[in-house]
Amino acid sequence: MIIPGEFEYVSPSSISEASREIIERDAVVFAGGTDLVPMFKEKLVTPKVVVNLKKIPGMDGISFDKAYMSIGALTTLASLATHPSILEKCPSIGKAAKSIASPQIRNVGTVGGNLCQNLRCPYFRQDFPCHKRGGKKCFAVGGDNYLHSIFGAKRCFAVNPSDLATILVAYDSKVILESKEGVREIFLEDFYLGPGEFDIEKGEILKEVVVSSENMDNTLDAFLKFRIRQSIDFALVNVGVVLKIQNGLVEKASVVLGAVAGTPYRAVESEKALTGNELTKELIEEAAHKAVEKAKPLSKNEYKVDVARILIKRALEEIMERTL
Amino acid sequence: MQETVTKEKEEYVYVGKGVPRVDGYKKVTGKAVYTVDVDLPGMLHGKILRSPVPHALIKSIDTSRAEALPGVKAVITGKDTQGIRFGFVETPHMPADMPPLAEDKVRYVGEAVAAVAATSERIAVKALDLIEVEYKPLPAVFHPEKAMEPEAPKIHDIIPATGPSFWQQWGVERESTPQKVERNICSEIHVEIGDIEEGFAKADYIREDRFETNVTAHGALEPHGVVARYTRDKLDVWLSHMGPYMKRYWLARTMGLPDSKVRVHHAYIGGAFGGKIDLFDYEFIASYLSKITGRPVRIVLTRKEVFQSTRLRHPMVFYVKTGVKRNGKITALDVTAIDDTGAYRGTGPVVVYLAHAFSIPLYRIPNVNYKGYAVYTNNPVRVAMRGHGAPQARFAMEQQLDMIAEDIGMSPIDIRLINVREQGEVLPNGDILNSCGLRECIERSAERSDFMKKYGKNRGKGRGIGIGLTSMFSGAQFYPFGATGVVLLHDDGSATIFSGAVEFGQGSDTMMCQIVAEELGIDIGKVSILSADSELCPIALDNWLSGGTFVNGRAVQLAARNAKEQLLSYASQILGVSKEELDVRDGEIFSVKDPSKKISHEGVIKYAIHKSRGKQIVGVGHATPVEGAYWYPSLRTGKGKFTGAYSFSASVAEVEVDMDTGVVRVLKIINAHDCGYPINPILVEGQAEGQGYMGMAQVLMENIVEHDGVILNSDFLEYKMPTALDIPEMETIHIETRDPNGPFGGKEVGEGVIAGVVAAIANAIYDATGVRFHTLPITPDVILKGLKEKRMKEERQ
Repeated sequence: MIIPGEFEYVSPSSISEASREIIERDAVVFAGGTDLVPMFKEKLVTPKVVVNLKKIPGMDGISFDKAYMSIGALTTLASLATHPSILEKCPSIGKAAKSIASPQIRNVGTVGGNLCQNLRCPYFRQDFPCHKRGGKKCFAVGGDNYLHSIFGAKRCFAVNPSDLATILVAYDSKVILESKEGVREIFLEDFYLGPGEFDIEKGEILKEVVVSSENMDNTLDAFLKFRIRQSIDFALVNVGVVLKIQNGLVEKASVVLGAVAGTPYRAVESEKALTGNELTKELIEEAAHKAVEKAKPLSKNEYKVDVARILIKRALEEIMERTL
Repeated sequence: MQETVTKEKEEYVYVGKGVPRVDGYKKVTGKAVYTVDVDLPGMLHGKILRSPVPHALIKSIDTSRAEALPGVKAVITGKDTQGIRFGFVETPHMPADMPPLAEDKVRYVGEAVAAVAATSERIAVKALDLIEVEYKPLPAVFHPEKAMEPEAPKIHDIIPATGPSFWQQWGVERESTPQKVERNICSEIHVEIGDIEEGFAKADYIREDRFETNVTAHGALEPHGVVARYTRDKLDVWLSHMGPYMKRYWLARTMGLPDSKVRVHHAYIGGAFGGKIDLFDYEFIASYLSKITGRPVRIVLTRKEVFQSTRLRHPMVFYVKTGVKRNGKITALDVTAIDDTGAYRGTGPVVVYLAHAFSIPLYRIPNVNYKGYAVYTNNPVRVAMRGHGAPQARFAMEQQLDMIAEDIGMSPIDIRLINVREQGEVLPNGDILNSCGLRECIERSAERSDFMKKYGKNRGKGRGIGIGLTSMFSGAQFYPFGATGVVLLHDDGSATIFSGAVEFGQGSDTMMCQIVAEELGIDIGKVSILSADSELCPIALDNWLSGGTFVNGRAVQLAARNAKEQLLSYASQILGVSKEELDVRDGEIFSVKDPSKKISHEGVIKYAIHKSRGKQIVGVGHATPVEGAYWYPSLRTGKGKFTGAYSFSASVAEVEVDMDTGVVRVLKIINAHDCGYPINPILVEGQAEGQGYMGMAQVLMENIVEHDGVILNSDFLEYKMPTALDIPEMETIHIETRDPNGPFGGKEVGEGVIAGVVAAIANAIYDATGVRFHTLPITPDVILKGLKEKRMKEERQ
């Protein structure tokens, strides 16, 4: 299948040049292309200029410092999934990366692209005139909402589809955004504003993701993904959990659900329930239950409430087993 | 893994062996030519503008801007093809109903509205954007039961006859009449066997249930495509298809050409699964565009087009009422089947017949009342897909049989064994079960799976086992009504097969080479095949009728025998021994009394060619699906012989259900299958296993989601075909029954098994959860909902 539109393809060697292409010529940012190329084909994105980031030095690779781990935005999902230090220090980040798509796609798909990927809502993809396409209606609400949000949606009920976002938010990761104006560092959690909406200024480029060592040292993590097909499938629900357990008590808890809301969904009530307490079966039940108390499912996605609860429970149980 | 239960062992050299595919080398080295590989000089690229709305009047189409685009060579609309109709089913009472391009109105999302031929695909795509169509939306209807309501929107009114029907051209002495469509009913069948009232009066227990099945897609990996070249008065086409003769017939008729002026060339085909038999809009459109531009035209559909505008599996609703005696013997069966056939007829009238016809050979039921309705909706068009009505019917009836068994305190195995048919039985329509290993299929699959030790033991605890049966035909009296095979012997002792049968991945080329090698006693490496070229090959039953082995294989076997007879006559002259004394083996003809009297095939053939001055040995054979019948059974009454042999299978599935998340994991599927004789056990096993996971996927994963006629998951990411990681362990048990009319006893294997698998998994899910699911698919959300309702019901009690 051909890409119907025509565009200019530029490969700058610096972020500031790329930034200028975006500001001055409305360029679309291109890295692995696994999200973008299908949208070109379906004419969901019709750019005049495509700016390739892959020639910009310093945006690729995983490095460790005393204080933090840095993951370049151009790092492929495959290298994230197999990096020995990641598998040692924060194995669930590797596990989440490995759960994405297929080996071929992981070989080209990037971390930055995964975090910034577009919505998978079928109505959006099939060009229904919904909120995200200039219309005034969410077709999922009265239609097929199997894939859609159970938490806090207002207009658009599409969910954030990223597996990496879930676990990286659980790790309280930050993203570094750079433009020719300068550099900005914000929490990944705050980067997500709503379904398909990011805190990114025009001309800014997501350069790297950083996880502080504090969040990796002496912590235990878990990532679970619920999907129909065991490969090449997006999550219907996923969960990322990171716990710091000191002297038998949960000192810090991070519980994040994905594919259940327009942004990664932090289960604050679960975190509260866990913090300061000993991880027991009863506490796990309570924490899992509290995570979904505020859920408001639609006609066809009530299962997500149960599944989210069970995934949190199982993730916590997995961690508990490792503490024994 | 596989295991064979053999009734009589014979020593064959090539049949009964898992010889490698004869097309394997070409395919794995990328040398096999598929339609998309055909690139002709001066070829144009076609693209089709399709309706975005499910039901609307076309007020106007403006193509002027598209025509003005440089590189565009032609733009056509329904005005250019006015009155042309085609369709899978065309009888005197049901004229063809499908236009290649919509004329005054569109009836489904994806219907072709205009088409472009341009010098590049890119220009063709651009040109589509320049065509302006104004629609006036009409109310639409998407469920067949709603479509049958009196106030439902009318999708078709009077379908005009467009000349002598398909059947009239083949001798049915009835003029075509227009069809007046009432309540959107496209066709209706009513089959009566015995006395239904009396049947229920005799029953000790009666049960009624409603079931509904889902829409699935064939998912052939090769996208649909065509290359058409019209020169002077002849049309050459390369297609992705399942049978050259149906395609040739409809292309000839719609293009106004004699049959012989349409040549369907050989091309390899990347999967069909029942979905590539009737003429597609784009095949006609490419031919037509080639005619008006004078240049070859290629059209390859996008995946989205394949989903939205080709064909899908029929979703069906069943109301099933069954009466049984205390001992489980079925006394009466009353079924109403309602099929959503989509916006055009597709195979609707056939699927409602087949849902009945594939049920009858399984159980001996004296009194049957079957009503089937194929109903128009504004959904995409439905057609045959592996099993064609059987998976739908088995999902309903095999589940209900289990429910009845439980109600009356019988096991699923016993209630089946007491009702199944046996070899030698004559069905109500006159078909004879010359071979039937059904009982053995049940017994062996149950024994192998330890069914009775496991069944019911973990009810409601997340682990279950279930069984489902199926039967399938081996060819029927549909055009071209049978097959002729030709085997040509060459100077060097090798042979070439000519057969119209099409290799689309199922292995028909290999099967035929094995048969001919065995019959002639030559190395399989010396047998080549030229298949599915409508001009070079004699006709064969198109390979959507499940007669690939039974009919087409038989024709080739008889052709080889005929060649062998000629060979032996010459050998008899050379060796000076009587013909009856001769046999063939390893490329030699020898006397069975004195094996030192022998001569090579090559020697005989050279002698024959020289002595008879160029009269080459050509063997001809012919086979037909069923003796004593000339027509397909009646689609109104189900009367008439249908096929010459039925295959049978029993599938047992074991599942594990995560009772918290609703996820079903199929642990193992055992298919005990009676295909008569597995001519190539590896190919047979491949067919059985392929149907194992296709059936599993229909129950658990694959499901077309339609919203106002738009398919929401029209790609391989969102339409969940299983990957290698999703496939359970599978085991195939061959039950050999050697049908007397099949080649070496062989009969159907390609599409029956899936139906039993669907039923077995549904029954296993009940065993694991204690909840009966009446609707497909059974996805985690459905299971969780069912479990919740069960808990609430139990709490209330």
